[in-house]
Amino acid sequence: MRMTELTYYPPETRVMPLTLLRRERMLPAPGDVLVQAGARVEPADVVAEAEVGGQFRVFDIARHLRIPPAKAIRYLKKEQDDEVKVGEVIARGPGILPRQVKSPVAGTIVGIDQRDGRVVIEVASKHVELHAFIKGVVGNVLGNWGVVIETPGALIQALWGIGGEAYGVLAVMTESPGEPLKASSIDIKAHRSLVVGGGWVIESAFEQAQQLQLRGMIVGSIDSGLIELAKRMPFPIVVTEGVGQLPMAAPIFELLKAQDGREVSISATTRTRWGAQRPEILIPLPSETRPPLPPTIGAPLTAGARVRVVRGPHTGKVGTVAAVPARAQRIETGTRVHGVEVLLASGATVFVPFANLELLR
Amino acid sequence: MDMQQETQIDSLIAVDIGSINTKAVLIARVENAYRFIARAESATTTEAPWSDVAIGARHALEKLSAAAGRPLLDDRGSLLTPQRPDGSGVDACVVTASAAQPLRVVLAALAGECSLMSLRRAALGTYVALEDQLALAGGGTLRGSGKSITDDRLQHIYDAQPDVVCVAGGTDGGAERPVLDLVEAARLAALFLEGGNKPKILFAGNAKLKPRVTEIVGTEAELVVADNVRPALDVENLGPAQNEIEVLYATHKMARIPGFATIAEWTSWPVLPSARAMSYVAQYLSAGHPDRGVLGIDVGGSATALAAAFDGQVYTTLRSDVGTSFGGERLLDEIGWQTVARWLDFEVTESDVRAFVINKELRPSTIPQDARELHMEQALAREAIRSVLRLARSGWPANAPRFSDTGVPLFEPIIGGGGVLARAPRPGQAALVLLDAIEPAGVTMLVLDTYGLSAALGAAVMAQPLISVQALEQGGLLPLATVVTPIGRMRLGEVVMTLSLSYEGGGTIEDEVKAGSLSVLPLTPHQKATLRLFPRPSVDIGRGLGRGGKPFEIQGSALGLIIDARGRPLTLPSDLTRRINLVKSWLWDVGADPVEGFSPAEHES
Repeated sequence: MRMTELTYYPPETRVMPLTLLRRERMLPAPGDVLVQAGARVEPADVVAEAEVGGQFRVFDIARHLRIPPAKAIRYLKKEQDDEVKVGEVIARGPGILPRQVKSPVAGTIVGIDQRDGRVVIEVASKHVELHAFIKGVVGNVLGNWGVVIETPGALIQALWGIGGEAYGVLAVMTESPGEPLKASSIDIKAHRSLVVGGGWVIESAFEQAQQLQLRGMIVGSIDSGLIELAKRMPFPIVVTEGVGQLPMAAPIFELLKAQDGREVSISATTRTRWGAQRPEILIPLPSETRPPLPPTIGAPLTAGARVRVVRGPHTGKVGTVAAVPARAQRIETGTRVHGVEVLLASGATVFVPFANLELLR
Repeated sequence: MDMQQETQIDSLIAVDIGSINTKAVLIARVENAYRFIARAESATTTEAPWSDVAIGARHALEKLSAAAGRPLLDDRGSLLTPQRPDGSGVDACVVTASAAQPLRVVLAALAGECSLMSLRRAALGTYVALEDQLALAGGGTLRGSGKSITDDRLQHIYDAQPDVVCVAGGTDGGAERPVLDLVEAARLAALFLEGGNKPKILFAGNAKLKPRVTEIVGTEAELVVADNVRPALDVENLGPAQNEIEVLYATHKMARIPGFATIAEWTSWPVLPSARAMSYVAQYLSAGHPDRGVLGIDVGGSATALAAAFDGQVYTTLRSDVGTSFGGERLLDEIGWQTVARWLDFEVTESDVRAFVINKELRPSTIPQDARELHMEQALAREAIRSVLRLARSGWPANAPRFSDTGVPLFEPIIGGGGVLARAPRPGQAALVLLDAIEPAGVTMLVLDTYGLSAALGAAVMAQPLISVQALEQGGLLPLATVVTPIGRMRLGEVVMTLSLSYEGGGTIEDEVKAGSLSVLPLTPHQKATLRLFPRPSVDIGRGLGRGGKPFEIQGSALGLIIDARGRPLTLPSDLTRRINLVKSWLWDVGADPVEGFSPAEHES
């Protein structure tokens, strides 16, 4: 039985100083789009809005009033299609000190189950506003669902994040990609900005970040023990390398540093499968010409390609593929695997298994 | 399809679309027997930016073409079929998949210890995510939270937004009203969940209620009716409900994998869930052997599957939420990080273990590059297998062959598969993971699915049963070790058994086995030997206390003969230093220390 590895199509991460950023902004339900194609928008601009409803709550009146199900509905104070407010009594039981059922939600009674003594309330719809998120131009209007915003800019795909979206001024707080982000790293100049720390975040930095009302945080890595604390922060956190104590990849740190003081937008939403989504950093930039879109994915790994090591002793290091040996090589675990020789920035050449590499472009 | 089944198949490709990798295997007729020719794998491309599983499958087939030296794809990337006179193309293709999102399921039953348990076992036979479990009494979410089932059952179903609500309860001719109430709750939930979110309702309860269930559900939801999972209190009948759930998974999840339609065109047979295909192999190997069961295990990237077969009857159990790449955090939350860490030969912190599992989930296709990471991954695999075993055991038949008078079922062989086992650099590592996780008893054989062929072999049965039979006989699976596990009253360090191993070509090893020890006696793949065991009176090797019985004729394997006298259940010292030293000694004893590498895959190439 023979097995060969001829071509390898690695995962890719985008770290691009200038490309055409194009992002769909979609409502959770159809609504009204408030802008037209060609309009210039700021991140905070509302580009679409909708009334979102459709959630139901079920109340077991019989159980709450402690009476048989078949008798419960006679104590109902509301009828089918009646609107109810938060805290409003929807049923009151018999007796001198009657039990009451109050609605914890505002909505409409859409179902009354006479036999089982239940009431179904459709929760009142909620007004949702969709922000542009990115400074740019409306490229397309997507019917009554949303818009596509376009702008020339820098793009950095990160690895992991907590929280939603944020925008603000970028403030690079550390000198090197390996320097941890401490409380003392974040000074008053960072007030209401999106801070960047090269290495991992130290616990004390979170308190300082809250005091200075940071809009977001971009770091190389985070200790697993701090994840629960990070989840409680009022701002999103974007991590470029992973969990642990890892320095930020040099090209990412250098790109962020070069754009220090610019307005950026970050999305920390992370989903690892079934609709995978990576966090990202978008930096709109002025450009006289329309830059190309990011290249299509699916390039096989070849000599000269820029790669990042994503596991093992050289995790986070960036280099170029020096050679693609035809034969498998033995790694420390004892396994023989196919991989490439990577020329690191330090000048050293190391063997890295295919599986532990990604294309950086 | 009929035409193809009647036509002789000279070559077949089996494609298995896993959550991390897509594997392709070529089997062809050589000198009137089917043999494995080559295999290849590539990253699965379900997710963005690819969002087309056919791309990864084509990458794997390109590699397979190169490995086999025969073109398998045409210029447009379609499978060349049938096989051409020049040797290009293949006659048939079978496909298995485990890359789809699991079916979101809510279970509702009358009794937690009875119908709910049976319903859960039926559901866990395929790739499902159990979103909620409701029982009137004994177990289930509502009972657990101290509320009555009448409280919020509808809200629970609504909030879970399931694909399917499975309802069971009542023996045939038994309870009626409470079962119908559950059906009504499911109907109402379906009523309020709109469009594509509307769940299907599977009814597998009191058979007498079928007409009334049909009437209650009406047109509000798609109803599927299966035979009662508990027709009588002491009778369990999982097959029909399990089949229906699998059909729902195949049609509502598997068929919606992006690019699935392209792959489905390559094959004339239904695309099988990978675990189902693997279970066919266990089933086939167990048929005609009432004295022992067969256990198949697949530790995948996002799911861990186990198929136990007893005399042709197979019991499949899956955890679709725990694998070596995905679900590590969930497992840690369930069993505690120390439970994973206990298998490590070095000290770790909770932070280390959590960082490991999170990073693995973020970069699921990466491989360990040092011993520390390798052992972490293998420790996680041990606990993934153990967690599925805990679920599976209660569903095995009471009359399954068991070790003497203990409750430990007898399995031979035990087949281990999945990347973490198949790619273990040393056979001792794979063997130790299986021994620690399964804790087999008596005399058994460990077999490694080095090339990830179980699914392929199971699926090939659809095309031509002879392919699977001959391919298995031709050594599709790698014999890893024969294992002897004495059990009984054993005091640490005392001699519990003596043995003699007489090699066919001459020479005999005689040895004393001490309680607590783990040792390996050499018996290389092409050797044969006669093994005689002489257990002490308080010790059993499966033939009764103190009985050695007739000699065992054993075949050589990658590792040889393992004598596992560590006792059952396995216990590890609570003292950290002692535990680390013990784990180190076990690794050393079975040659699992990754100093000088050995890859089973490489060995067989």
